[in-house]
Amino acid sequence: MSLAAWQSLLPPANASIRRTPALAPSKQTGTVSLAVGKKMKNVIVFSIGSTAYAVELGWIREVFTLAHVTPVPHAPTAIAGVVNFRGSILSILDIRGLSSRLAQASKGESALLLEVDRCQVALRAGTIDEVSSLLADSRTGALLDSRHRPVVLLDPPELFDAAMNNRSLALQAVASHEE
Amino acid sequence: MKNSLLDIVLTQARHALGALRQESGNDAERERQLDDLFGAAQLVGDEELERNVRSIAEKITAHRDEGVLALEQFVETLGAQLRPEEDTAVEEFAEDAPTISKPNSPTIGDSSPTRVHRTARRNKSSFDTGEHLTLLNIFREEAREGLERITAILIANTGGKPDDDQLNELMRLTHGLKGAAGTVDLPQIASLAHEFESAIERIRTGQSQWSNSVRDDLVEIADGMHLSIASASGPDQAAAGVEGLRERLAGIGKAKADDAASSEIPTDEVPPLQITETHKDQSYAERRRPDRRGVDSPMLRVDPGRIDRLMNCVGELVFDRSRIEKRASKLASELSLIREAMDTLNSQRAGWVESGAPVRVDQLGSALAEIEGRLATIMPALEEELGRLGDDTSLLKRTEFALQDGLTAVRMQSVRSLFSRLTPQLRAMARQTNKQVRLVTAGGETEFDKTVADQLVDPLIQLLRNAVVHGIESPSHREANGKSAEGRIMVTARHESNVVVIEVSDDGAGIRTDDLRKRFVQDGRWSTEQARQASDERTLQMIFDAGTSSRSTTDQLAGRGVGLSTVRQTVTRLGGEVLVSSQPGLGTRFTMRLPLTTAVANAMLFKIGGHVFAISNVHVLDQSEIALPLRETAPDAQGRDLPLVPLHELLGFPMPANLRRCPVVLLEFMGKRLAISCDRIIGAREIVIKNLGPMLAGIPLYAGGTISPSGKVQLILDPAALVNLAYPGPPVKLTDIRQDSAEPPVARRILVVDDSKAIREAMRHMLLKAGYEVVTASDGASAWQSLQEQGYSAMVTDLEMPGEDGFTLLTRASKYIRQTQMRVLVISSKDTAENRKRAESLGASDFLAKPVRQQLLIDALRAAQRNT
Repeated sequence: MSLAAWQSLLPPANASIRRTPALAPSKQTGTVSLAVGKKMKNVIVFSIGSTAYAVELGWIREVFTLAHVTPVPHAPTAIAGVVNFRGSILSILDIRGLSSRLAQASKGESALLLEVDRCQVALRAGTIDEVSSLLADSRTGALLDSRHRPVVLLDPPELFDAAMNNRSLALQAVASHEE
Repeated sequence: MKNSLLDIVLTQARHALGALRQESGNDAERERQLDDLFGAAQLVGDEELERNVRSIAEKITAHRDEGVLALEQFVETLGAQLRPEEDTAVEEFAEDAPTISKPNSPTIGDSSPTRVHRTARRNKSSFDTGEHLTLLNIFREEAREGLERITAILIANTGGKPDDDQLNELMRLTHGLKGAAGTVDLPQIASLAHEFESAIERIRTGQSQWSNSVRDDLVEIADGMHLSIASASGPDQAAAGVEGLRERLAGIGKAKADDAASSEIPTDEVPPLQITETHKDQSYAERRRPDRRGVDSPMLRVDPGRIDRLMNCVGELVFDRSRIEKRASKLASELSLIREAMDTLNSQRAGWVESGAPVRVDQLGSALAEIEGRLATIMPALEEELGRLGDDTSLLKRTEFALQDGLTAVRMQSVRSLFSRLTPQLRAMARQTNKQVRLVTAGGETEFDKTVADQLVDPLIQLLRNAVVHGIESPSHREANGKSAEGRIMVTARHESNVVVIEVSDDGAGIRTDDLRKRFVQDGRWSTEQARQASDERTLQMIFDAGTSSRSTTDQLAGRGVGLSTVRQTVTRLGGEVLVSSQPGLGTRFTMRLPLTTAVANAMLFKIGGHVFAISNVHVLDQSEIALPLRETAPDAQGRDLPLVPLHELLGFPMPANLRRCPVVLLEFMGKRLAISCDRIIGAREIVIKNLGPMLAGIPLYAGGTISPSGKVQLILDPAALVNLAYPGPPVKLTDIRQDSAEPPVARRILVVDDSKAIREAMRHMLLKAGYEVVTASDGASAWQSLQEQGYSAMVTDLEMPGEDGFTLLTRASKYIRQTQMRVLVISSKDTAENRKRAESLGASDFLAKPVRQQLLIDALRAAQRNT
């Protein structure tokens, strides 16, 4: 392989330093304009119970409906089972993964297919509310949705880490919201 | 950033300058030097610098003297820039990461900070991204081939100096390596390759003398690079491996040395590979065969013919589908004919009902006859179509098999590539132990599944290590026993019906079973009576059991069991088996028998709590039913009691209320038998094994998952975990750490956990020097994460840390430690009896008080690992 070919494989020079959303502001996908460092966020907003959560579009590969869910005894508490997704097995992540045992995820629920570092996970999404660009409140820094409801912005790498290490996810999200 | 890419530019610029100044030099040479300089500048990835270099090159072409002046100035400025850079530039620019400052001034000097900044940033950015991993894999593959070729050329010249063509090829290869390494963010490797290139260049131009020892040094260094690259997952790790090699290279042939002098090149810095011995065995290098094939990374190289076969299958599938579609439409038209007949019948009946008149028999008869006639014509057509559909289905099945075979073939890899990974490792081991060893391989063309092959690397290296360390005697000892000074290790592969057999044999000292018997009695594992009764065969196979290596003896057999239990575990997990045979004085042979592929397996399926679970059928002995309520054991066919793992309880499902007798599956894994209970046994099926993904990879209970014909995920239980549940191991004992042994450091991965960066770095340094691969973590949580990511042979941890402390970490990891047999050393300033006791109870092998000294740490690690 020639040097030029090697260099063409390199990440673009303006890629952000840490793990970047897969579809984040890379040149190939000009349609997604995710402004890193600015206040505007392109997200999918979904609610579980009375809480609204948001995930930046760059992390989301697909929105899909869960097929038959298989429970996994002894899995980390945030894992609500596994599901067959086009022939590969996906873990289903639930942000309510608190100390008590989760409600089993079931067929027909909505889920977001998230990808971090090539690792794909289905995130249980409850009701999907909207796809929008959200602006952070300039005073508090909190993210508000179109109905001015505060939204908890989830950070998928953080979610993945927490899930694998059996840390409580919901508390994480709330904490980052309160900052 | 002493070894940064800029250094390469500077050296290259100096070379170019030298070439230009030489009156006698030819134009082609100058051009090449300038090309290289430009290439080096491109590596840095700074446009400013590239522009500068380009303009200098243009100047040289137009007005040579002017160009030379510009180049001189360039060298000077860059040289001045590079020296103070370490203290200022990096610090300065590390802070303002989000903005990339572009210098406006066109001078060379100003652009340097940008370059430094960018290199630093690139290092950071490339650490976690999948893209970089892909790049690294590609690079490893390419680098391995390049290095293999380099060694092949070097070794091919047993007599004298390589000819010009060969030297040019060497230059080209190292040059390519340099470029690629720089691009994938391994500046240290790039700079090492650069030094290598310079050394070859010196030989080419006659500045350095060629000699056998120079050649051997180069081969060794190429091997060292090979190993560094294989283990490098980022610039830091690569850096650790190459520093010593760099020093070494710079010295090659520089002093116009003759043979004797150049074989005494000083090595003040001990590289992790411990390449300190320069009087090495040349015959080994000479006999080494060039070997260019194979794959050394998760990338898969496939013969295009195999892909073509798959494409043909896809073509077949299209035909199959269209045939079936045709059948479907035929059947649909038959169906419409039946429907017409039905309609006629219905309207006839409706007519009769409407008229209210009684129906005559002859009317009824003719109506029925008409329907019968119509059905009679439809029936044969339907039968024919059904028959054809059956044929089509069997054709489809054939295509499916062909597709499966084709895909399996794509995953097949020749064993040669596996073998090629062993050679550098073996050379390093031989050097460490001062033994003369020759590796002979046979059956390299044998093919088997890449996933199996990949998992065999560690077991094979373990077996080689055993052979080198414990099997092959020292040269003098061998000669005294009438053997050649050089030991021989043979690795062979062959197909035997449906399995691949891989053998590792040595012509060393062999294993004396009487010594083993004594050891087992000493250990309390066997009674004297048991030892007397055990056959030689049975005694020998015991060396695969965990803990076979002795506690403190330092004789030949000490450590015989190191890692052998892991070897057996890996092989058994793959569905294979490993056996040992040995003749005292003549040698030892390990035989591994492995399945061709692990992607498809025969599994026993059973149901619990409404869910289907699977377990590899290889390990299933039998099935039966036992009376309720469950006891702690279940009898096998011969009436012997086996420990019972109650799966309902383990998996958290209630026992069905209507169950009269409980079905059990009897298993055997690693020589241990057990029974598991379930609701219903479904039976044996062929299943496709799939990965459960990283989130669940840490749960030892599962070996993977599979997808049922209806699309549901079914979990596959890992027999190893069940055995561990049925046979809980004895607690690990603290061991006597003070002992001297000739055993070389086992070059394996160690996780160092400490909140102080200085201590982390210090320990890292100590361990690297001793040949270990080191990963560090700053607290319990990140250590736990590291443990999830990859395996470690040992973990060295502090106790007091902010966030999650050492005890919390050990508590959390206790199951992991048991499962993986990872050794744990606790290092703390709180050296109290209570802490020691607690650490021991949590699985720690040893407890060292801070501050820890290098020798103590290494000794403790070795002692802990010997007691695997």
